[in-house]
Amino acid sequence: MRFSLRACAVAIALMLGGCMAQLAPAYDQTIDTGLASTNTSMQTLFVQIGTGSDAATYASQGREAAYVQVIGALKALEVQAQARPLPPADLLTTVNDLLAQQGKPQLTADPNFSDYPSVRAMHDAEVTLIAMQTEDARAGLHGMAVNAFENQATTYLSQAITYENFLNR
Amino acid sequence: MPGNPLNVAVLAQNLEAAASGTINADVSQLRGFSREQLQAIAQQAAYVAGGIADGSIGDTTRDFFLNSLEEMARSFANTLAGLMAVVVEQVWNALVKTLWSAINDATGLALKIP
Repeated sequence: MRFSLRACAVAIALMLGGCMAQLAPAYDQTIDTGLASTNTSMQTLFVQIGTGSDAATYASQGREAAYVQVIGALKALEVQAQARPLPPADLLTTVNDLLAQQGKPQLTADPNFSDYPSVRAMHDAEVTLIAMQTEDARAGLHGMAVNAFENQATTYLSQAITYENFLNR
Repeated sequence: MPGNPLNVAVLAQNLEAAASGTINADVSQLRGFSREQLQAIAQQAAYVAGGIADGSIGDTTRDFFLNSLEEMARSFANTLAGLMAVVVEQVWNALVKTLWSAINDATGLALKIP
């Protein structure tokens, strides 16, 4: 393992032409902060729902406004995250070729990096909240469905938050 | 002005140290993230099964939740791949810095990293 890492490190350094590189989008503090704020709003909505909700109170108890606010914030953050320039595709292809030569797994199946991981996760969270909103308005939220909606939305948002925070390097 | 002779064996050691230092710092964070995500996805399967059993997940939401279980796993894998790209970038740049530092030391020049 020690020899392999050393050989890999020397090979990569010599073959990359000695230039600094960027393989991921630039960090954007407003996206990071925006996600944290949206998460707070979403968790506040979940606390309001508690163990269940009644469709009859969907609008009167402010849940409709809360859904609109969180979903709108996620849509805006998606647009912002996708507006950043993509890293050069040829760099990622070079890295994947080097990893393949060392018998290591590829970084991503999409060498054009057309999927920002955080944008996908934000979109998934948005879809989840829209489905939750629809059901809340239609029939209220009950039983384990509450846990399922909340856990799903939280898991997606956690992916987005982790990725965007990790870009601060 | 000539510098110190470049020792390839020492350079290789320094490159490995630069790579290890970066990787070790990030791996623990990635392990924590992976563990939490996998627990959440496993918990989600239990919630969906429980919701179908208690009737709270019915005709209007069952397919949504079942399809979402697959998407949660795919999105997690996609995120992890994205995080790995950041790690590789940091290793790459750490190696480049180490390389140029050795070259500058050997040549006695103060070359700028491209």
